[in-house]
Amino acid sequence: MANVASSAGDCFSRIARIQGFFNYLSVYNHADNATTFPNPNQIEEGSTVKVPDKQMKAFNLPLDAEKKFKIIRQKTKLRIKICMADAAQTPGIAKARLTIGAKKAAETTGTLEIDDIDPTLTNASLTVVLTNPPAYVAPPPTTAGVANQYPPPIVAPDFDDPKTVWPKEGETIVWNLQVGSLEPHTVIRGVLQRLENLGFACPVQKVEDAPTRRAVRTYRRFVESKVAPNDTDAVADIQANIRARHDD
Amino acid sequence: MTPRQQIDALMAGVADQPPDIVVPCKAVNAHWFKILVRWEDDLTPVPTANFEIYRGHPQYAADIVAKGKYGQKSVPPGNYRIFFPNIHDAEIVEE
Repeated sequence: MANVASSAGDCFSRIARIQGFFNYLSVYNHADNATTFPNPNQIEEGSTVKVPDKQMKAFNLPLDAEKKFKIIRQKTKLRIKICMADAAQTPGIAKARLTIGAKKAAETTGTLEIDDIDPTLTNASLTVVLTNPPAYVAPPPTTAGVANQYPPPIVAPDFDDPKTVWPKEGETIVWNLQVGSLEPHTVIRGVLQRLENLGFACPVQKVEDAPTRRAVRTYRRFVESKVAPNDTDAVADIQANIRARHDD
Repeated sequence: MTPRQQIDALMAGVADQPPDIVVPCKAVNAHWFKILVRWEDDLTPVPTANFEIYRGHPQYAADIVAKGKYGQKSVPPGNYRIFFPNIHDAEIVEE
């Protein structure tokens, strides 16, 4: 049995393929791998993965006949779901294309999937062209003669965010995806990766500092709306929440 | 002579003659085999796979399955065994 130190971007599919296995379960199910790594797609950088020795099997080969064999493999799939930041709605998509290696998938829905990718590949590209969001339509006035009402009623334009940027119709957005590089949400780096993925810019590192705390606080304001002045803004505070929002 | 008498006359003394010469079957030395290796999930052929074939203990042939298939003609008789050295035993089964 060999011990393999995981590097950035490793997952069990990749490690198994590099070690010559067709099914990641041959590695993942060995010894205490499954207990050390609850999710085979998320390995903390620097972890030790135990890789079993290959065992060879002999088969009788009959003459004057055709001998058939089946190799058991586990395909590695790549699935991308495109959604808005609050995950409550799906953006209008005119065209979306996912590319990894020589394989491509194109859809006009929010979900793209490529079956049987090469797990040793670490980079993919996602290209999306959004449609324009539906124009705002003011609700019809409900009552007449409220001009002098105090306090004045709040109307929809009051909520207009001048910083909101929506791509122009036909504008192409390209993301470069680091496939398999997500670490578990139980480690600092894993949480910071998820923050970064969700648009809360922060350094992806193994220690917490002022920039990571700012990102955590911003996330909590956005998601939880309950940031108290004495909160520590530690990564641990949002582990469970960001796992559910990002991974599920 | 009745038919019965004719048969008896023809067979008279046959038991005292030596048996017919038995000619042994000619050994067949032109055997063949084919190998087909496919993925278990969709039964499409495996692009390549190394294998080694042993006849008895000392002889072997090492080759590669191409597009899932390999065949050999004019194979001498014997008990052959095949190994796939790059495939873990839990990941290959016979059909």
